[in-house]
Amino acid sequence: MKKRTWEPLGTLEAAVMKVVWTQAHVTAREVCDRMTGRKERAYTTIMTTMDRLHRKGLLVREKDGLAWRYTPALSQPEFEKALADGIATDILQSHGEAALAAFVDAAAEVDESLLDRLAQLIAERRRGRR
Amino acid sequence: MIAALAFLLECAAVAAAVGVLASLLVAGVFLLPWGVPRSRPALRAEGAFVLGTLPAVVALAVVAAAAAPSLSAVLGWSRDHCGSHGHHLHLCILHSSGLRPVLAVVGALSLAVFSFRAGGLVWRVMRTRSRLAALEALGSWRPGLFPVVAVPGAPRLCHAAGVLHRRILISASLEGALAPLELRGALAHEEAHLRRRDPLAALLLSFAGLLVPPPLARVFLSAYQTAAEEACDAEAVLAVGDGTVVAGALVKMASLQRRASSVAGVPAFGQVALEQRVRQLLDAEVRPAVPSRALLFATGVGAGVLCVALLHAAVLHHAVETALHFFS
Repeated sequence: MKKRTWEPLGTLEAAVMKVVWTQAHVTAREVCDRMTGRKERAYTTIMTTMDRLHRKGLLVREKDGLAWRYTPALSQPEFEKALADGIATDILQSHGEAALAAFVDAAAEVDESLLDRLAQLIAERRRGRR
Repeated sequence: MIAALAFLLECAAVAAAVGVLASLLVAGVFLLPWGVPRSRPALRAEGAFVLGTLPAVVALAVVAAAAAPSLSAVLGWSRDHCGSHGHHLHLCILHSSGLRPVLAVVGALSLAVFSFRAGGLVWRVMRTRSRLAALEALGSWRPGLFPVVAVPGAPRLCHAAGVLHRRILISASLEGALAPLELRGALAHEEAHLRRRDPLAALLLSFAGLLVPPPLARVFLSAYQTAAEEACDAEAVLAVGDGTVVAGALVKMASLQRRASSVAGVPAFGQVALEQRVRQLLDAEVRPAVPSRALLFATGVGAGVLCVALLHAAVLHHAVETALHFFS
């Protein structure tokens, strides 16, 4: 199965996820109530954002009376790791021309037998020194 | 309006033609047996950078020199020169010879290809910048001469990034995957890239490559990168004092990337270069690090070529007009 890749979250999406990660099983109203001060947004905006996060697969929801109750599909560390892996794949492909220099050129074809042969060569050289 | 369009298309055609011819000559020079020892990768990198940027420098210098008399007359800096050679086409805004079909087609095609490639390159650079920013927001920063950003995820990133704000990006999980000395070697390698300003040099080579046929641009960039990687390997050996450690780190890193990566394999310079780098590291003697002078040399060569072209602007202008007249 193809591994799911994630895109970085927008500012409001990140703020909503922060609330959901700290307190699972929340409704849009509860998230809205927790977002005060500069983060304060209209209830409908929060509801739309949470619906979008659900469609993206980051939130799972179940009906609770008339409202939806949301739970994170992944924990924060799991999401950050998966996001970092997805971005890293992009970065590895762009090595070279985009002001990046890599220790190893990941976009190159390197087969397993070559790696084994090189590892053997290094081991022999180390043994030869002793 | 027509005069300005004809002038623009003629200049584009000249830039494309000179770029292609100069890159073919430079490619020939690349193939010559130079006798630069393999043990002097820093010197090879400097040569590859100067040669790689030369076609673009020559193309721009020729266009600047060819356009100078007309532009100078438009700005009122010199008197109108066209009366002195009325027998052929004028590369001039004041006395345009009109749109010549062959030149118009070649110029428009060159301009379109250049714009498409330049747009693609700028888009890729901007995208990589935004991806780096998103990744760095997830990581933890360790201060230093070149800050190190340790990011979450599979152990496969060990990159030097940035033109002005230079930093090293590594997967935090590499600390568990590589031995401490191997990690030190990998970081020393990336620090060497940043000291040598290789990310900037690669970016400049990519932009210079816009005036060169794509296969040759790739050859020039890859020649520079291969030599730069070897130069940084040599500095990493200097830092850890043992070539087998750096070679071991290289092979481990390639193996980790192979395991963790879903990146489609592209037959780039990697496979041959990896073997070549490992073999060199095993045979390497510890040598003092040499600072990179690639950017300095290239700036000097570029300024020199432009000065010579502008000093001979009248001759070049006339020669370009004659050539355009002949081909149109």
